[in-house]
Amino acid sequence: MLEKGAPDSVLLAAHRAALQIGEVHLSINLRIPPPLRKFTEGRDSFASTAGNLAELFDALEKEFPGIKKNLCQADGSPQRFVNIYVNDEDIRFLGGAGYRFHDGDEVLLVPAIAGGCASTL
Amino acid sequence: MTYALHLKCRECARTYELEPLAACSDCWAPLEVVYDYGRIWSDVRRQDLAARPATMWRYRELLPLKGDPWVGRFTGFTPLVPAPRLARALGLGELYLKNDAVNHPTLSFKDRVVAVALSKAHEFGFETVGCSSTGNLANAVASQAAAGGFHAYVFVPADLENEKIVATEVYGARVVKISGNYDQVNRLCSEIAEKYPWGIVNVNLRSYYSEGSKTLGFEVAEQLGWRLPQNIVIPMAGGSLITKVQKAFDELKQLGWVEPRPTRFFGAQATGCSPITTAAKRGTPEIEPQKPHTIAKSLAIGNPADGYHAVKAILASGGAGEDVTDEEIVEGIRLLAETEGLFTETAGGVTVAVARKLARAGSLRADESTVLAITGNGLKTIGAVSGAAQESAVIRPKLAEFEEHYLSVEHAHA
Repeated sequence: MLEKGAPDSVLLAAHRAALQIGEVHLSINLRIPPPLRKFTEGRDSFASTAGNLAELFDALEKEFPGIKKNLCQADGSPQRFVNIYVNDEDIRFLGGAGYRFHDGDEVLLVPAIAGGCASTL
Repeated sequence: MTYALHLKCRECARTYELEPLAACSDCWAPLEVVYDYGRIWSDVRRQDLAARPATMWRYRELLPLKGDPWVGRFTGFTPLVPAPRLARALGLGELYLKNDAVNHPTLSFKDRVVAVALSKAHEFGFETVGCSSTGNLANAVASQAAAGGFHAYVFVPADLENEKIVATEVYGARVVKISGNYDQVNRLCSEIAEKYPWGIVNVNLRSYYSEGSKTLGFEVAEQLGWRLPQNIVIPMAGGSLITKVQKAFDELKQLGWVEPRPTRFFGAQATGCSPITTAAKRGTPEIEPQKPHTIAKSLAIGNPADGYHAVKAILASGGAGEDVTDEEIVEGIRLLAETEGLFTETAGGVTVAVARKLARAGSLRADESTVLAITGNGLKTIGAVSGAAQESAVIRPKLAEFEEHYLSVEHAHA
């Protein structure tokens, strides 16, 4: 245990050590829009420790078997007509599949051409 | 009575009922309206159209309404203007301008798509309508919503030209200014369309809205004497217009109303927002989004929803995508004004400047027919040319001062 008032350099070293031994966990929150909730049993959000997009898709598939084929093309890249945002920024501006999530990232899936429900007014 | 059969996914071909749906729930690709072309062919003769009103509704069998239009009754059938002086300046021969800068009621081609969307909104029973917009759509929705008795919410980027915002607010629509670019505004509209029972014309009504663009193509063909142009240059924002004009030409060929001649489609963008033309130049329909930086705000969509299909339309036709700088856009506006007396907004400047670039490169040829789509009025983007126009000196009401300040200048130009 660190003493109260320990110098910043000591705190920083301790945090780095904690990361290395896995004591600090990455957690992101995926917001799921209405058109996709039929695949998630109605859930509108999904917390995950996935480190990047591929891991996130795998985590979703594990939780909701069959969802991945509606989100990904055959090669694992996102469906052409689904946009992915991280903290309101299009993930393609952040490096796309190569982007590594940060703790607390808010991820949003949005169909590119969105809107509509099958029931008429 | 309608000849529309159903909605169909453009990628996986799954079909849906004619409801306010815009995207396939399997692959998220856009849906489009499919018509009973066989029945249209047998019920409608091309020569019957000549007696119909000079509006976009003369092609009603190829539009998705069940009954008469609720709004936009006088929209469309804008002039197709021969442009010999501009042609000479560009080194082209047979050149025409499809002048939607004078479309009714709000002076842009968006009046067409809104007339269809809001008429469908009425058929679906929506009481509140809306849109996300770079300007022209805002004007059109606000105007036609007022005329149709709808409540309206219009979502725009906060830095839109003031004349476009004023020309939207005046109709009584609620204008929601968003601190962000169009793509961010559109995303919000998607969330709103999911949550509220509103008809957002370019979101949940998009499949019907986009059909209105076909009428620009139908009119060009009819006004050329039921003949397709060999080339057409069309500005691109979301990418819908160019794909629907191509659909229009294909439908006319399918009905046998025109000779099956090919048309090369050229898509025009500003270099400062050129995701579609960049992809077209690379020869791939895969779009990489951009952050827009251009005075052509009406085309400033960095993540175009129909970009993929726009590139496919361009490449399949043997055409090309080309883009121009902001400086060239202003030159394009002035060139059109000074040669043919038509004042277009920045999107029209893009089209003219791109045509000039294509002509210089030999992609547009002097021995072929070319149409330029002039999609909006110059009064909507006055700021873009202010300062670039020749400044006039203020003189006292004296003949000598006029002769000194103006006639001497004229003589210098003579």
